[in-house]
Amino acid sequence: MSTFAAYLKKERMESSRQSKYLVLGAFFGFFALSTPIMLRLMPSIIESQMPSFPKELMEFDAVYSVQNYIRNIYQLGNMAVAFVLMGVLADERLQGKLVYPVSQGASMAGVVGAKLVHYGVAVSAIVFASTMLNYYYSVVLFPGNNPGIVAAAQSAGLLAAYFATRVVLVAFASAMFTKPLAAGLVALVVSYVEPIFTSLPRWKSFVAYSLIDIAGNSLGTGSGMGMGTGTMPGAVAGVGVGAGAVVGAGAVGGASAGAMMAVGRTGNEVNGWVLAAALIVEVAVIALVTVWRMRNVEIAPGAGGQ
Amino acid sequence: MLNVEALSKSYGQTRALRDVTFQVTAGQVFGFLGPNGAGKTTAMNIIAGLMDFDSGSVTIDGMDLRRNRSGLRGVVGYLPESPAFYGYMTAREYLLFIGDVSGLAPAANRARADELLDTVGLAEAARRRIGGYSRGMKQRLGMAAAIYNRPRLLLLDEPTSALDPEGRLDVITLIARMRDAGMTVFLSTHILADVERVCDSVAIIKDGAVVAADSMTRLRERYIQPVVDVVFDRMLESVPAQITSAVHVDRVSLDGDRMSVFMRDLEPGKRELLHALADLDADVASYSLRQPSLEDIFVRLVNSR
Repeated sequence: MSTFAAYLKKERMESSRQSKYLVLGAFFGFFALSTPIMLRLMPSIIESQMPSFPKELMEFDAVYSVQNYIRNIYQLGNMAVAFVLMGVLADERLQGKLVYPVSQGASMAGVVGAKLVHYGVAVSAIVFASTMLNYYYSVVLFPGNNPGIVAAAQSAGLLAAYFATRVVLVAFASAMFTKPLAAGLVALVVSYVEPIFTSLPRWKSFVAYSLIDIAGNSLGTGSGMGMGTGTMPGAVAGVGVGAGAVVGAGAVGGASAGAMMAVGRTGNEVNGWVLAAALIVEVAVIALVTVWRMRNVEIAPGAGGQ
Repeated sequence: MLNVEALSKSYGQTRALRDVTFQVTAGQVFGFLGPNGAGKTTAMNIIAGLMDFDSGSVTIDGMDLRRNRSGLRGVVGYLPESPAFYGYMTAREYLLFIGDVSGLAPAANRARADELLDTVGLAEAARRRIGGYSRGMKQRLGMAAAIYNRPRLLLLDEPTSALDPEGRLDVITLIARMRDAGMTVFLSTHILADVERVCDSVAIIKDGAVVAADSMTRLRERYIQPVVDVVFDRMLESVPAQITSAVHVDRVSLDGDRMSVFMRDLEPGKRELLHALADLDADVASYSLRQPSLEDIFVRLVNSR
């Protein structure tokens, strides 16, 4: 327990002094503010370029605005989380920073647990806050079809839970690879491949990407182009490395279960309870494998170039 | 205290350690010597529990390292050659972090941090970020972190290599103080003068194998060939036959007026040499028995096999 508490304190200090909170907060906050503004300006821009473009396709509302943010932040947010946190474990062992703590009796479960909880909670909080900020601006800029603060909070909770799963995924990759960039890229590829599985009915309730689908659809139907399911970014390569579906630390898993309890069956063919249970199990397994890996990998400076 | 038995470790096809065997007695300072790439750091990483090994055994305080890895953490303190810290922390914050990891109570932790910062001479720089420290300052902080938990066995990998002469002397004095306080110190260094100053026993490692391991006194007795240096009052053209033919003389080297006589056996050799010198047609300006050094042993062992 002393290791967990010591590392939790250390991670807070590190994130604060290395501006990780600031980078993530600014990133998510920027898109939370800019996406409704861009959406508001889009009709004028398109009209000036293509006067014949049908105006009814450009009548957006608050629901569509938030859905648009969710769709965008899935792609961009994954990059931010992967590149900010890719060295979370790889850097520690690559640079020999674990030598003193481990030789003084630090437990690897405490080290990994503190990092997962800290970054899981921090990223979730930033994502939740930025989504609520986006909701506020969406309602201000698009007065019609307000999804309501409860529905917005549910979507924000689901989005936060999704990004908590990305923290666990990035930490896992960071334990598996010595080079932080390799860890970040692998985590990113897994996140971008995952939507493939949501097109398979049997898999849909077991992959974290379904949280993104539910987060968008639970807001209702927006006017605009609608919330596409299984959005695929261009940077997808190869076959997915396992399901890769993970949910953040237990607390976040609980939050996602709570949010999904409210959502229930969303008409999206995803059983919220099955998804919550599956993701909690997946997170627990991946966290345990991460601890196992860190216990068995050589942490001496310069050792073990896997 | 530490018993290393037939320890072997390979990196792919390269054998870093081959059947390394030595013992370290409790309360001693044990010197671990060898040229670069001999396997010293690998051996220390294994003993510190940071690296696995292929075969053999390591026993610390009667406990097998493999079976008691977690139990032995905290028993062993380790200063790596290039200690790595969190550069955004101050030295005091880092030591408090190490204390938190060790489970020290907050008040005891603060007292220990301040005590050690003072001991290693970093009290004035304690609130500066480690990222701005010189290598020598990091080495001192590393020493403080290594002994924070009062380990029974302290492993020091080149602790003085980054220090100026004054800093080196401070560290050597600190090592001697730790030995006096009952700590066992395992010291790897290539600065042989430091080893001579502070070590009780020594192991010399070459190409992953131990070529000698014994107390300093017995190593001197076993491995140092006695040499008598004679200076004449004029240049000699060749080594006099009376000296080369002496029974106890192994070989002789001549450099102008200076002659070095390598003995097979010192006591009878000295008497024989004095008689031979008395018969020479040259006056002796000085006659001295060369003081044996660890460097002589090291060079001889490392170059001879």
